[in-house]
Amino acid sequence: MRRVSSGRILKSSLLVLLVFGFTAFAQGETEGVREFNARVKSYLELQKRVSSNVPPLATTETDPAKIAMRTKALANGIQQARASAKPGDIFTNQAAREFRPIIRGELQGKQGAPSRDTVKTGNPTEEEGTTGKIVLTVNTPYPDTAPRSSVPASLLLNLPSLPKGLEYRFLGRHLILLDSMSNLILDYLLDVVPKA
Amino acid sequence: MRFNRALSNYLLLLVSSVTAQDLFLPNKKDSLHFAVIGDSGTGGSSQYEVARQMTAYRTRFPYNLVLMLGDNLYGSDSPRSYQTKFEMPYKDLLATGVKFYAALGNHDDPKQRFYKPFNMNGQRYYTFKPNDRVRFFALDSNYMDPEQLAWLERELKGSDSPWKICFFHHPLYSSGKRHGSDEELRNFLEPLFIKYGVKAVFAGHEHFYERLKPQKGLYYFISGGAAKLRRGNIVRSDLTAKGFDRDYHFMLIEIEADMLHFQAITRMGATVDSGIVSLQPEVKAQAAGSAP
Repeated sequence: MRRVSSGRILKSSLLVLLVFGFTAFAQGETEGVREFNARVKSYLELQKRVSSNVPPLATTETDPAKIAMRTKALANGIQQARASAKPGDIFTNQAAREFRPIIRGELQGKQGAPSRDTVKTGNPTEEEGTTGKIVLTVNTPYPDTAPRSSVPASLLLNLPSLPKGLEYRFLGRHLILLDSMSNLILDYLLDVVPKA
Repeated sequence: MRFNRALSNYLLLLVSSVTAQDLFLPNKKDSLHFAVIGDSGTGGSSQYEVARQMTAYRTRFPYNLVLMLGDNLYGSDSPRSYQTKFEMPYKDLLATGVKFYAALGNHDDPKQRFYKPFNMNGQRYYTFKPNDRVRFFALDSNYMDPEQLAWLERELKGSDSPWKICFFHHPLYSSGKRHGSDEELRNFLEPLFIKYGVKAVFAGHEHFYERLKPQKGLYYFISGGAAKLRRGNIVRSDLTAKGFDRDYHFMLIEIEADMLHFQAITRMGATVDSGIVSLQPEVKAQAAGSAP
């Protein structure tokens, strides 16, 4: 019978743990993902409550003023309801610990170059014609005049999927969580994009 | 120098009356006619000039739909922007019942999908079928999430239209110095396009016109100069079949049975490219009537 060294057993165990960890993440079962999904769910409930007090938006609206009014009313309601919102409320510490290596893994090095290019596309800090510095603050509107970054498809495959209306976007090297219906920045993770 | 160029452009505009000039399309009654514009929403004079030329051409080449390749409204998405960057420039077309179908660009607020004249029906990505032989797929290339990829595969798979045409903002292939090809997006989309027989793809983002040499049997067009222009930005490469980066433009397309005829036209009515794409692999795309 062949003897297996303890080092090899350790390596195998680590591999199993790694595979298990990845699978668990992919299935949305890690602690960070659970926390993140719960916070997202709780936000959506709040958004739904606020939405019931603002005029509904038709999917075929001929008057753009109504789209703008609805967005503003929804944003105002959510801002009041989340008046004490702060960074980390949704991207919890544990979620951040899990998401950062995923993002870094997708974007770093030579193989991450196409994805880094994608992150630069539409990114307000890279786009010509973007005026003024965007101050990153939770529970404030994403600037109406600023473009929006693309998000690499490969990254979206690996981060927890979001319900309709919520989006990950990049602002410079930061990941933001955006509510596209109210146009509010819900939370952010600083400096997640590797420099090269 | 700059003044001289502006003056010569102005004089050229003055001498070129806004009437449809050369038409290199068969213009058959029963074929599908449409126009393509990209990066159109500036509200600037160039957008209006292109729009006037589109209107003039419609008198000779009656099209009833326009594909918008994104960056439909630059800057603010205020109600005023919808007027000055869309409703006013294209008012003559809108008044005659021309329908616009928009894809979202990086300068577009995703809530544009609720604006009825963009015909997105509240969806970031959607499909529509103007006749039995053609189906269009409008994608949101800013945010290619797994749900959108699954939707695209499902819709492509379920479509029996011989002409499957995709349009979205970011080009999978480009010779642009400023942006270039979006390789990341290409890795996800192109295998689906090939697998399910997409034949033609229209994108914007680059502020010029480029027809790419066929890539893996697909015909890619960039048309992102309906209001923005990045002069001299095309770095001609093995990819380029035809490039034009000296003036604003739009495209006219006609699909007649197994042939897709295309023509790219400047705001002054000059044709910069035209040709045919065929569903049959043995017939190669021909280019004719191209400007130098």
